[in-house]
Amino acid sequence: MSKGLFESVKDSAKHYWSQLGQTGGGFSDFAKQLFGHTKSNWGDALGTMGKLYGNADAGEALLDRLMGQGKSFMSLLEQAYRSKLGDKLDFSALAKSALDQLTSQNPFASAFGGLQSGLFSTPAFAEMFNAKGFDLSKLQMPQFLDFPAFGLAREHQERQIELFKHMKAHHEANQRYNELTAKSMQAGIERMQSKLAERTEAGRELDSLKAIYDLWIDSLEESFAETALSADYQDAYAALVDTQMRVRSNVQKQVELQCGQLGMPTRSEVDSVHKKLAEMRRERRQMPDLSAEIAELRAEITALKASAKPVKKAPTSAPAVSKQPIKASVRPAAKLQSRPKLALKAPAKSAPIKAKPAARPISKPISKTKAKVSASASRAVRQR
Amino acid sequence: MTPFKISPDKALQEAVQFSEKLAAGLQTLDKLDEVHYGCTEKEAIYSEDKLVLYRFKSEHKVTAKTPLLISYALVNRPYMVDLQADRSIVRNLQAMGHEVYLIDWGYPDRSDRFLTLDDYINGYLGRCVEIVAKRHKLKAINLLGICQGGAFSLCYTALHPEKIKNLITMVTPVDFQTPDNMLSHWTRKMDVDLFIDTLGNVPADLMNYCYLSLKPYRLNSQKYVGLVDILDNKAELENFLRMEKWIFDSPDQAGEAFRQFIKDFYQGNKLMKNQVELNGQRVDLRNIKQPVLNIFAEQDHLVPPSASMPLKGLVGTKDYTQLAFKGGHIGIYVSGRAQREVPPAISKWLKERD
Repeated sequence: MSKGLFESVKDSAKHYWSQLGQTGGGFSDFAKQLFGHTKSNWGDALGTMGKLYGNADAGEALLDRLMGQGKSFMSLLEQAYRSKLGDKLDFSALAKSALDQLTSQNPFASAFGGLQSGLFSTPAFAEMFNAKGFDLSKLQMPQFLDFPAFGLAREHQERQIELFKHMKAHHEANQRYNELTAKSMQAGIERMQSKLAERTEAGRELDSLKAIYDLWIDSLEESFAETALSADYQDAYAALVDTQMRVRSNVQKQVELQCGQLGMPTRSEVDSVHKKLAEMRRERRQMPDLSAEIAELRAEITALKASAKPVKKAPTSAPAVSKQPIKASVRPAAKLQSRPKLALKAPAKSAPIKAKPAARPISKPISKTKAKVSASASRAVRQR
Repeated sequence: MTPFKISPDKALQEAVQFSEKLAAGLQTLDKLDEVHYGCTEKEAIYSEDKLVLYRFKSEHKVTAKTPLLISYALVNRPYMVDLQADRSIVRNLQAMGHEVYLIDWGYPDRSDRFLTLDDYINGYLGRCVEIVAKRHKLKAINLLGICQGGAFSLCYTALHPEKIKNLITMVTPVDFQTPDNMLSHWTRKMDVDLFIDTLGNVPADLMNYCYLSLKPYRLNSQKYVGLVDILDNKAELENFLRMEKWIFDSPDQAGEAFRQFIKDFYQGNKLMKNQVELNGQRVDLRNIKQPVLNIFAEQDHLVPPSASMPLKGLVGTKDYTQLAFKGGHIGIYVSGRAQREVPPAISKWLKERD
């Protein structure tokens, strides 16, 4: 962004405000010159500036927000400035205009204007309510919708009727909510006027445009808090949320049915898997910590494997072993000694004989290990 | 008489100044670096599902015998306690000789929709307490619970008093039905079962929307008009953006835990009545006999002081200390005053009981 452009914007702003002070107009020419088309006020021009720089900027979202709120403040400033801040300042008119800017530039606006999109940030649902030609306020509930449905499609028809009723109920709840917030805004303006009346005392006057804006925000907030803590608001809020949940729930059911018919997985199916998963996680964590016991068992098994190696060889040499020792035993020792070849083989042949008695004590720990493992397993099964 | 004492010249000057600041702001925004958050080096010492337990590495000598575990709320990210170098409760506590651990609950997704409060409190929080205690070969550690994390800490300590040496609660609601509690007022009549059965998890955007709508004009408009004043200051703007990031970087809420929290805590106010039950065990705050430090913020619109202060009469300890901080729910972590007042108060209180 070139520095020259900023200077140009600043100079233009100065020019605009001074022209406004002198003639009460002149912005159109300035806007035309700067942005290439006519703008009705400085607030709109800020919006254009935001668009101009928004895409190239790391703070794009912030810029949008800033421009939006700058517009609301600027609108207030402009109104106040045009009125010359004299005794004839009509704050109601001024506030109304600025309030329009304020509520059209923040997320709460959509709540005030139609909570469907604002409260739950779901464009799909907002679109459903705001679709062209779809005006629930003008829809009358046909009497026949209360009649029972018949035939093959009766279940589908009942679901559709139910959805229609929920949408109608939600629309009414939304209207009720909007009425309350509108009342709160009106009360905020009245509150501001009474605050202004208090400021007519010498020394308590508002000495800046920002001070007017801050006092105005304070008034709106105080008024909103009063409304928001009322029993009426509590009821309206609950009705608004509940009715919207019914609409969503009904739509979800219908989507699920359609998906099911197309053989697609549904939210309910995935939820049931997740539920089972959560239960299994819980069960696993409730199991006693077997890590020490498992480590001990592993160590034992390792030791056993090491000492039992000769035993493992036994089956392959077993036939020879079973015969050879007998033969060997009947042979006189001297004869063996006289046959060095056999003598060389003798240790290998005699080893199984020695191993046999050794196998007995070894088998005990093995059976103990097996017992421990099976005890652990059965404990785990019991806990499940 | 008129309520205004603004000459046309002064008004013109103010308007031009505002415009200039905006224009300069465009230039500042264009030059902004990526905003980082979380300043203290940390290591993950345990993880489970989405949860990670961190130990902050300290440049300072640890003099406190007992480590401190911070349990933050589920509804925001825990890096608020260590946002940036000059706004870090963690860093300040470290400088005073404390070893600090932090639970990061993570971002639950639909597979976590059936996590209950018992899973969070007796499960996740409990295991983190045990792991920290085991690392330090201690039977009990210090626990600092913040906001909803404070309510969790109260439940955990009441159920496992032997595992917590000293308990600190910060901006923690105990009485959920005080007349000035707007959130509670709004949720009181909602059909929470329908809400969770329909939504599954509660989307973060919805949570944020609710918080913004507590003060809609201040938080959606005035805040950004005020921002213009600092638009030409890069450092200030980065601080602002860091906060902005934290405010809107919110996790979805696990459905079942949310259902139970709203029903039992907000609608039933059961913590006050010792009627909260977790996995069949009743949470009786009278079991909390260890020292308790309860810190709240005087201008807190989310957890008003009146919601925190009743703790004194509910816990069984004879060593109860209360600290009122002059600020709001967020200022208590990040304001300059908070850095000067809160960590020293916590440190002094802990060291006297170490």
